[in-house]
Amino acid sequence: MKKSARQLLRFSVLIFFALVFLLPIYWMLNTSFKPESDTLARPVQWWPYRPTLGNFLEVLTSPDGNLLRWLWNSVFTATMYAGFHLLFCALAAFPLARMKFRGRELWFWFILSSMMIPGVVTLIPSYILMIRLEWIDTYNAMIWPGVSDAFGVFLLRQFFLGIPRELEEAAVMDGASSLKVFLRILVPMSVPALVTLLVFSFMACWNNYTWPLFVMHGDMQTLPVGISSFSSRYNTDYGKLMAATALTAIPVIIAYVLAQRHLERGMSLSGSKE
Amino acid sequence: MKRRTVFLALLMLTAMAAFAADKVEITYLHGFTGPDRPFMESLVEKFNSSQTGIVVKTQSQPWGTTWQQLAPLVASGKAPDIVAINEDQVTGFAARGALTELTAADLKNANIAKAKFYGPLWATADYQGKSYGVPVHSVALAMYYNKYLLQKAGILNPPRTREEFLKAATAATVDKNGKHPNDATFDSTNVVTWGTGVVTGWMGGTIAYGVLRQNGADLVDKNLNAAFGDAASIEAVQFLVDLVYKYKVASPNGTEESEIAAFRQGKVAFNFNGVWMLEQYKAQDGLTFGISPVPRLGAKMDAAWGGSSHLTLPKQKAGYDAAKRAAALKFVAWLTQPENNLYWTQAGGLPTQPAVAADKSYESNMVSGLFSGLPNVYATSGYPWVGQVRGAWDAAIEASVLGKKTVTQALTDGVVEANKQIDQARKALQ
Amino acid sequence: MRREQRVNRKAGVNFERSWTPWLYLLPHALFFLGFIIFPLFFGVYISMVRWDPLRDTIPFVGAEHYWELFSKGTPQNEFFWKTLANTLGFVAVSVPLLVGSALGLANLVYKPIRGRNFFRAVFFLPGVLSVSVISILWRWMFANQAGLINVVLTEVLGGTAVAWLTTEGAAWVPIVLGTLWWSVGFNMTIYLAAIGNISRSLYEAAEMDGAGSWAQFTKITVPMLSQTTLFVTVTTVLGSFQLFGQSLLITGGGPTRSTQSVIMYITEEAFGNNQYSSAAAMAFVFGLIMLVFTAVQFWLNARDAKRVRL
Repeated sequence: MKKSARQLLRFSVLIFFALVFLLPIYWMLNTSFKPESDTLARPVQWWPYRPTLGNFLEVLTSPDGNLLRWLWNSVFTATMYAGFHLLFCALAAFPLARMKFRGRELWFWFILSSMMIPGVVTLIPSYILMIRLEWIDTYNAMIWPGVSDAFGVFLLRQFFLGIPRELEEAAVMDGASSLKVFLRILVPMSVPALVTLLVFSFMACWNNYTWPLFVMHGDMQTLPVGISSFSSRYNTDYGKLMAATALTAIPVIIAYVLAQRHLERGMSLSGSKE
Repeated sequence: MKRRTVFLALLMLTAMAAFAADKVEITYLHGFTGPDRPFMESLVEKFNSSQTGIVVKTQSQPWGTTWQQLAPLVASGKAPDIVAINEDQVTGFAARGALTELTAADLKNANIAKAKFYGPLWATADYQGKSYGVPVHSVALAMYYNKYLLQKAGILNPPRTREEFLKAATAATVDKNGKHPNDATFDSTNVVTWGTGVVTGWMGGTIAYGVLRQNGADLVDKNLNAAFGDAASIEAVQFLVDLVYKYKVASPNGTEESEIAAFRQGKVAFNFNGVWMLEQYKAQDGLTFGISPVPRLGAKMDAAWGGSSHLTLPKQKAGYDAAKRAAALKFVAWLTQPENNLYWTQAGGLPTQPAVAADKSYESNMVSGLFSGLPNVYATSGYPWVGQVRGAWDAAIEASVLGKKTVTQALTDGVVEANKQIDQARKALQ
Repeated sequence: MRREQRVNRKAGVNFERSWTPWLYLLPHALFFLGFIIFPLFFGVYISMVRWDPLRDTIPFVGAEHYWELFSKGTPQNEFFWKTLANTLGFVAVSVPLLVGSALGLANLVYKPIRGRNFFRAVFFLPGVLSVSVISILWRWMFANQAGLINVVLTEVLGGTAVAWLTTEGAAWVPIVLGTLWWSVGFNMTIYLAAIGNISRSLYEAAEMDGAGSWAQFTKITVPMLSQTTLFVTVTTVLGSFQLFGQSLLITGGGPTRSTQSVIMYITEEAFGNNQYSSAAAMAFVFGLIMLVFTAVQFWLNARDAKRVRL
């Protein structure tokens, strides 16, 4: 009796919090389906009295910015970044976990110690480097500067170390090359860690804001930066602003629902929000 | 048969090559993206087909990109032949040596007549007595007024002076008991409609700049140091602050956005914002409004803030082809002539010259309500540290309007801060 | 010893005299040295000159940009420390909220209940959105004139509207709440994984001793999670120090710079005032202050690295 009452209380508390969490999303959708005049109506319209798709159509065909192009930029750069990040980190983690050679410890700690450099410290010099390389407003600026970090190497090295050596040693006895060992044994056994890192680095690039804000402009903007440039253009065009925001948010929300498990794991493994 | 085709094709190719060699090709970089872009592109096409000697290639990208890229481009000798630059950036680039002077001879040869443009607009791209750009695009601050609220308050015409403005704003400010600020029982915490709003942020500084100029003051002095701490400046800002705290005709804590929202909701009679708000206000159901120049809220002259874009010729590497420069000037002259400026204003800009404003096509256009103010539009320009000065000025306005500091204190502090920033900017220019 | 090595070499583990390991390391190393290590030293150089792409010669100014930060009366001195204080204030307020409510939510959804997966998903959901999306949403929610919060305050509760975005102090509310909404689910997920590792028998024993759920929470859950809490706290502190997008997009740093974060000021100095060198110097000073926390993060990772190797 007492227990079920407590259960009910806990359930109600959860429902309350869930509603609070969903409220901003509801309000975004609600605004996005209203004609602009109604977004400011008093008394407030709790749902769209005159629902319209006009905001979505206008935003998608807006001459002020190409949402679909920005979406493509984000998809392309995040995919390339995640792919190369995974490749480079996996290649580097392999010898650090599995080979004995002079300088291994030194190099590993050298890489790991770079975790102590906050991103803001290299923001200005990296930006100047982009100017020198003429990479401003090119995909290069999004893909290469962050592609080699300490976190990916650290994560994969830890995972590789946890894989038993027996299989590998047998293969080496049979004369397998190191590349074969890497591709045939280590990689297949590390799929969960690799996928987790892939998802995580995809998200990190997808959601990056500070860096692309200064190196990507106009049609080359990524979605988060593009949407914030909409927010200054449609400063008070709330319907259009919310429609654009919804168009940005909904695919991510759907992807999240589909890939929830990997994502949560990636986030909890990551230890960083950026 | 086959042979003949080949021969003909070869002939054509040679002819085309010879034809192309005669043409001067110049590049034109501008930031008119979005809805402006097709207008600019069709103008360039028209120019290219109107004559045979010059081909203009356009590149458009966001303004911010250009501000970041222009300096490295000039430094490496790869600058475009023509670049459009905005009012708040043009002096900075001129002072840093990124632009070339448009000499009197240049202008004369290209048949560009400075006197045909609005004076202050042309002067926006002047620095140390030299001209660096020709105005191609102009916007200005306007006063929007809610016709219904003014009618209800018994005001028939939009105000032109400080007294008329105060009277109208007072009449339009109504609390829930129908009382006005000049009634003893007025309740300023329960206001139904406000006369106006005094906002903070960039827009706050922009509005206040206009009143400052109306008082005959400016943000900088002759030596280009910050100078907005004098009596005329204090008086201008004090008047805006008084609208909130003394006359109680403006809602406290306004932001640019909240005032736009209130104007659209029909809860405020006067709104000051750029001419670019016109379309959004037109689209608001149930809002009947007009547009007029900013009234003379200051003591000495009519003035309002304006923004603009100017066609400039960047510095090129040694041995730059003189024919390109001549061609660039010819294109600048063509693009800024009245006929083409008239076409350009369809994209939402204002006329750059009286001849355009006088065109008949404007007679039924609401925006012409603003035109009488165009000769008195002033940009924040003429000093290479516009960003630094505006930053300190906007902050001082914000501190005054929010009651954080007295106006005198806020402006004095602002001048000190701006001058420190200017000292550093000067060092960077040496 | 010698013998062992030979065996190892035969087993393909020892690459003492081989280039092979370095070939694997090479692609990562190239970009690591080029885009992480080089910018660090390039940044030191930038911070000691007066950099401008238009100049033919770049003057060396030594420690001038650092000196400006510490000499009274310069704008850098005034605004760097002010925005640093703002950022520290944000860290001090947001970190306990982000850690505490994450633990609370994790405790609420850990035990079986109807719709548990739905609740988890909902609390984590905002975390997948980008900072610009969440900032645009919360700016709209807290808009002075027509925002939902003020609508609720006036129309539903019959109170008076609050000018959130232009009142010092109140302007922090949308930033802090928006951040909480955005990233609490991330910490919650880490806590959920950790609670799963606490032995059930501890709770069963406590239940036998008649301990209520609050006692179980404070006496078992919280102490058992202390390592996780340390990790979560450090990552949250580092995340909160990075405050940029929320300030920029929700309040624009206002009113009167009261919500401007230090990163926002650094970018203003660089991209607004064209003072790239001064901005680079500030970034270094800020980085040094953060070193206290990045070092702890490094230490936590180093400990894990060593532990696995043993």
